[in-house]
Amino acid sequence: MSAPLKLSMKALAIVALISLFGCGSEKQRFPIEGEITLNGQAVKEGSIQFHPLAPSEGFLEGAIIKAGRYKIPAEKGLLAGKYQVLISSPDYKGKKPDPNEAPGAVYQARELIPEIYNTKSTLTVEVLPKGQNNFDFHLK
Amino acid sequence: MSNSPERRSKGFTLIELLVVIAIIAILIGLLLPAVQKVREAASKMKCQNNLKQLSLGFHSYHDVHKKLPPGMSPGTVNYGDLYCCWGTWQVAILPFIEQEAAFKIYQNYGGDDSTGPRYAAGVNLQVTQRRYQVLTCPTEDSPNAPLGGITSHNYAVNFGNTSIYQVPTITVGGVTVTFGEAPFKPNSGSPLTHITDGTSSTLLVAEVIQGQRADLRGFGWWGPATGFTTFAGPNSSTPDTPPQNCDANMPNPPCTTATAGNPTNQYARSKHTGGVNAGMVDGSIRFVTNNIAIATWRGMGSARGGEVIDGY
Repeated sequence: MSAPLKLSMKALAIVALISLFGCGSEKQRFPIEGEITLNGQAVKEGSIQFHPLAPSEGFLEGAIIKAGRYKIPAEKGLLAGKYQVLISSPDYKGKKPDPNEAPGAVYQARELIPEIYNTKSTLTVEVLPKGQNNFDFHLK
Repeated sequence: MSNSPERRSKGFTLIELLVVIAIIAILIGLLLPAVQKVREAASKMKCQNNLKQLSLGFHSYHDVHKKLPPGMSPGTVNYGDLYCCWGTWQVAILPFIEQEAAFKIYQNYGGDDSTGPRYAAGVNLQVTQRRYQVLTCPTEDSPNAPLGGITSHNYAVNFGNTSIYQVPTITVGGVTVTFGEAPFKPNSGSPLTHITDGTSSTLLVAEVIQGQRADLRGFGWWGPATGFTTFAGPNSSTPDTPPQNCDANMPNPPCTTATAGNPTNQYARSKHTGGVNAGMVDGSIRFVTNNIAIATWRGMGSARGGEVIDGY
């Protein structure tokens, strides 16, 4: 093999290596999903938030709860680490405003979920760097 | 030699034609993504230009009034309606984005129900049913008018790092976020001298996505939709929490109705790839990626929080 050809092969190998590992510095996000029940019944609607306990690196991500399930896809997922969890569900108590009326007064729905699962949350989870993470919450 | 032209048939053979078509198809295939990218880049720039115009508008307003306009409504009377409906910053800025005529039509800016109509009544509809190009991002493929022909737009002002009504703290168990002041408050605007975190590291205005159907996100004539907070990051999967008319079906961003445990919020969102455009208080325009650490983004949202912000 001639010298210039050897050199070009080496260069090619280096380029291939860089393109393989070049994107390794990007933080990897992991998808999350699970189910949420309150007193044994699926939570109809609401939201879940995952607050990073290391906010200088992490992201706040979350999802809507629909028929007792939530799902955060990989592209919006969480970094590995510990999170404090908030779960919230609105309770309209028959006062839901008419969506076809020009809005005026600001309506405030009541909170259906006990505060030990939102403002005074005691729920903590650890996202593991293993692909799909499943967290089910059975609230009382 | 001399008779070969007669033996060759005129025109192309099928194979030749197919090869030519295949080559053209490959070329188009190569070209099309490039064209798409250029189009996206162009609309992103147009969007940034709108932000620049709005920032200049806010600075002109500041030159005249010595402070920024109120986010929702300058009224002092709180009818339990929390400054909802008598003219938001979108009205206040009109004379400074060359919409003087529209501003002159608008009645009762700075008033309340005892002094005149709301945004959705009387002559005010002539202003609020119009769509303003400088308030519309070209990546918004379906500009909406959710109720009575009144328009939604794509820009929201910075209400700080907690919630739209600026609760002093949001606590989630062991995590506490403390309100660090903001350039805009529901019923007042800050003088630039009060922004001690530095005008180049505090957000002024950013993008939001217009809700479709009756969803009121981006419905900036109405108080709770005029602002964004940095409680959650750009294009976060964290649902917005409007007080009413939440519609989380596609293509709307996620949302759930606000509650006592999860206060009213609207986050910066865009249809650009990988982040949102934002204007800083000093008038500079930045593209902030979705991967910004939440602590940094909240630091950019607060005006007097004293956070140290290095590169992002």
